[in-house]
Amino acid sequence: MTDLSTKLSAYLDGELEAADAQTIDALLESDPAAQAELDALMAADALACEQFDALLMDPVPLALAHKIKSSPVGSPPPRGSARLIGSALAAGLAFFVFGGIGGYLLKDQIAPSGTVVANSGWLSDIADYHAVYASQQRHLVEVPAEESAHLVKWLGETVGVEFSIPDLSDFDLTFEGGRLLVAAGKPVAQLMYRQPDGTVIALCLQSGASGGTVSAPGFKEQTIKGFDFVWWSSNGAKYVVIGPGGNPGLAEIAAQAAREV
Amino acid sequence: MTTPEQFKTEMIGLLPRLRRFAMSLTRSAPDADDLVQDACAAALQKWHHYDPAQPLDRWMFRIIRNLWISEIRKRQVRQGQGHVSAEETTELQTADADEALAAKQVQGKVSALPVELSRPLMLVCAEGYSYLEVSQLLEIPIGTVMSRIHRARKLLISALGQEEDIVT
Repeated sequence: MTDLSTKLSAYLDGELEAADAQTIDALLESDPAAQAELDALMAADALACEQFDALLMDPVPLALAHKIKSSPVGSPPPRGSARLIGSALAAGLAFFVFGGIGGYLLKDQIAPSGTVVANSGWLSDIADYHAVYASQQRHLVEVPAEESAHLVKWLGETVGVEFSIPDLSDFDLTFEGGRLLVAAGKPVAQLMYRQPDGTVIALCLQSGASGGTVSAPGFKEQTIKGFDFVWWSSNGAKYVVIGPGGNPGLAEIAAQAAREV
Repeated sequence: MTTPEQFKTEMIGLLPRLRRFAMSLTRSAPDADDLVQDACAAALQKWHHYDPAQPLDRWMFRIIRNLWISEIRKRQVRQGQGHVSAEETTELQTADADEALAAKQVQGKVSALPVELSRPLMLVCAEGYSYLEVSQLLEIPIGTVMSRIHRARKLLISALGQEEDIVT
């Protein structure tokens, strides 16, 4: 089983040759034990992904970001003792002396708490997509709302997450349709909503988180590249609602989306 | 053409991921911050060597790893252990990894993994590296990458099972 389990692990990562992958495909259909082993590996993978992603939420010392901004380029910066810079005294001094400047330079990347926000791979990618697509008028979506049944089936199968399209009309949001994106190397389903003033809010979902309860997801908020994010994980998937920066109702929209998705 | 300011801004945007990778090497937040800072300083010195067509994160990961190898070699030489290979410098001594993981059980299952297992798992799972890319970055055979990632997952499965036992 160990050798098969190793192959299943590589299969999970898409690292098997095509012929070996086909062999595994056939085996999984006929061997419940192999399928159970794959399920267990996937559960472990989901746990790992969630915990690795959580590391990105750790606050980055502002002094570290400022050090980069203030370092000369192309000439040897003072090597010094990084540990000293990391010490409370030096960090405190750096914060007080350069805080104002650093705050301006890092205005798009600093959380309200004064720490640099986590530029998580998939969230950063989604911010890039949103910057491009949210300004589109005729081509906002790939599949329009009129084909919602197809959209749910297609995106659900591609992403590997079953979902329903939340009704967000309480927030004056009209469902416009959806797109398939790729973020951090994995498919993402993007559902697009538009308010009467043209503001576009998107709900994106991707497989990869470990299990949790739908009833009480833990919401987290970030600002990345000028967009506000509210994200959560539940039942083996990650979800994020994204909208323009400074949107005060995004958390409520996310809560409604989490209940209905 | 990337300007120095664009280069710095992109580097700052990568800081959470650079720190996560550094943590996978050092297992110590202060050491990770030192390492990232030194790597950023080194990158800024030679930023004109950076090819914008290549992902900056991959370039930075390589700088971080090389600096860490250099740092560990210095420490080990200072401690009188003489020259050690690159592979040895990046590995923790984990005589009984299963026992160590079992002891930590429920909390921090991934951080409880032996570093030589968690590092390739992080690169594949969180950074989207292929086995070949992990092999090249960590300078270990591709078969070793495959077996370490598998072993990491099996240890996590074991930890999950222990968690269920505790709950029930």
